[in-house]
Amino acid sequence: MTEISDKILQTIKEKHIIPTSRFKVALKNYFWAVLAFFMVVFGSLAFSVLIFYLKNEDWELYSRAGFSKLNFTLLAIPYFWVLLSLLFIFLAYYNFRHMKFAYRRRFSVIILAYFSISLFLGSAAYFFGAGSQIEGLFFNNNIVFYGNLVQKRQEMWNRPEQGFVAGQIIFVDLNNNELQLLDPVEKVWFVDISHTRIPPFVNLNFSQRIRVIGKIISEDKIEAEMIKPFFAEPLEHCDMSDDGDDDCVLIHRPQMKENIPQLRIIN
Amino acid sequence: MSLMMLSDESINEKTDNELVSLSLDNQEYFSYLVQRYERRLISYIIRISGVKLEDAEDVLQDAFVSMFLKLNSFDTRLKFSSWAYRIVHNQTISEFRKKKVRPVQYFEENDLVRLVDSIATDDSFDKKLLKDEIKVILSQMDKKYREVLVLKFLEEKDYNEISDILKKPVGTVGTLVNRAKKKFRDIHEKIEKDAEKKKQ
Repeated sequence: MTEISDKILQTIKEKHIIPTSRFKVALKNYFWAVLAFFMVVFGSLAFSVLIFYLKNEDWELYSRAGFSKLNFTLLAIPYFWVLLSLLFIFLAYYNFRHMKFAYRRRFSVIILAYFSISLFLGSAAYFFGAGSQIEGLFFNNNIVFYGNLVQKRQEMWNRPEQGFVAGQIIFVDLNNNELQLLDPVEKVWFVDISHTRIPPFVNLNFSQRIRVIGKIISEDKIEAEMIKPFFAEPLEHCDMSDDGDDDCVLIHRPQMKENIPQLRIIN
Repeated sequence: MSLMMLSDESINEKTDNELVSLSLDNQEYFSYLVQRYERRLISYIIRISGVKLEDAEDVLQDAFVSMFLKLNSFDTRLKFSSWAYRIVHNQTISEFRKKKVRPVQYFEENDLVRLVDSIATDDSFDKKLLKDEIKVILSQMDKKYREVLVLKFLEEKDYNEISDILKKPVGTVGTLVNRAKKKFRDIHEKIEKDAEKKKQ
């Protein structure tokens, strides 16, 4: 036995050093793997909302609303969900790096793989309606910063000079064909719906978020030509002229009831 | 001791992985692993840190204790030598971090000649560099380049082993080695040009 090996063995014996148990080692490895898996799942769900936003944007209406294509695209990007998706991809990468032999893969390869997986799973989640559900969940629970994103979208579609008003329904009077809408700058709009055909997928209920496209007839009154849900209609095969079309059944998002931050009592 | 020790001859026939398994049952076997690698690892510590032999032995001792502690996390898909080099490398770096000093390199004359012979594969490069010149060139190189040069040309590790030791992708290791060689030549050229200017 050499002097060094002797010293090392002595130290191990004197300090009663024993190898970390197999169980602890396995637990540590699984911990990072499970964490990486969950980050991919969360990232995919964030991606599904991102797809939901982009897919359901009214790309055909941007010029009528007075936007340039570039300006509209920049406004339409849901930065909150982009950042959340990227954050989860980065966290998945971070967790993956702690796994055995992860170092053998290049950074770009791992990121690209995670991006592709998130895109694939995110598309599948969107297909099953997860994007819409999660968006509603975030909105209804006043998730920090999320209100700003929604408000930005409301502002984007709230351009009265072009005949666009967006907001939340605070009063419905179907006998007089009138709605009251609270816009993002807390202005109440009276919406005349007497000349509007309400598509079967639009829910004219208290607290629903909608967009009105029409003609401004006075300072606080708009004659609606079109009423659209806050998000463009995701029902691709829906025939708007057919009230009985099964494809037009609205995917209801959970609605806010009492928790409307911008709600004002109208006397 | 609960188990009967094997004879020296049969120990020599055992692979590293077999000795790891035996060490998990009986710590005495771990000393055979230490004996197999202590010389190589001490010279590696000195090459990457420039410490004296006694200090290198201390670092090695701590590294082997750490290795024993992590013995269950050793994956047999990896070469034991790569795993040992990795732990020793990390231990050396961590010692320098604790002392808040930058590691310096120490190369024996023989090391320097081997290094230049390996880097200068074409005839355009003057292989008759002075020992001091090589030291200056190495001191002007980034740590990441020196590390791969040492592992590739002095420790004679292949790209896969270097990848496992430094925990970097094989492709990155290849790039680092090529860049290190180029850097070595570039710095050498610059030094020569500066020397000529001074003469004029």
